[in-house]
Amino acid sequence: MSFLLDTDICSAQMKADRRVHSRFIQYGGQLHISVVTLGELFAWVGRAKASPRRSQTLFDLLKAAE
Amino acid sequence: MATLHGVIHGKTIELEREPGLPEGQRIAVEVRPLDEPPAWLERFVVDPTVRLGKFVIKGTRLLVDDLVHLVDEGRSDEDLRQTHPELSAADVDAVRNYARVPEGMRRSFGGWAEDAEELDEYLDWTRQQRKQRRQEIQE
Repeated sequence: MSFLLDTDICSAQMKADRRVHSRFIQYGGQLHISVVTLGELFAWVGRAKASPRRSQTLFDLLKAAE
Repeated sequence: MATLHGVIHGKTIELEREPGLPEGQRIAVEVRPLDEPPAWLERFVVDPTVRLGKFVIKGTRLLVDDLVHLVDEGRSDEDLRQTHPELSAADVDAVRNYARVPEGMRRSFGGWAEDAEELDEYLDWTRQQRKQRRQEIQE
């Protein structure tokens, strides 16, 4: 089974929601992100005054999903 | 043929009960993850007084990321518990399990915790924008 992650769920992982993180670990390798969600997340990362840590965190997430 | 449950430790599977087969019997194993979240994660909590958005070992101020780093360096369980006597065997097991979680998944956890309020505002704004555009298209 595969899971298509939406923007809220991706954000929850990066905001330290442990229930979401637990599911991410459980279903690792079966997680996918759509280009629409990617667009929203990159728009957030690309905002003015955003720290480099913000984009690094997103790239880390993308290593864990497809 | 029987279905048995167990826990994976690297190349070894620890079964919950004896399989009832003679010692040395060759078998084929089909591995399927159970639909359960990892129980060992209960050893960790997020404590903002230690670091916002990052796991510490429950009942301590030890950052899990620091312990994972020690595991990656090849430190033994005994070594970890000598260095940090507050760690239980279950804590060390949990850290070893967490060290096997893909690095990207570990590192991304909590990476935006400091920006959570601003992020929620952004997500609300994008939702409103989508709703407004839908209405415009429908009209």
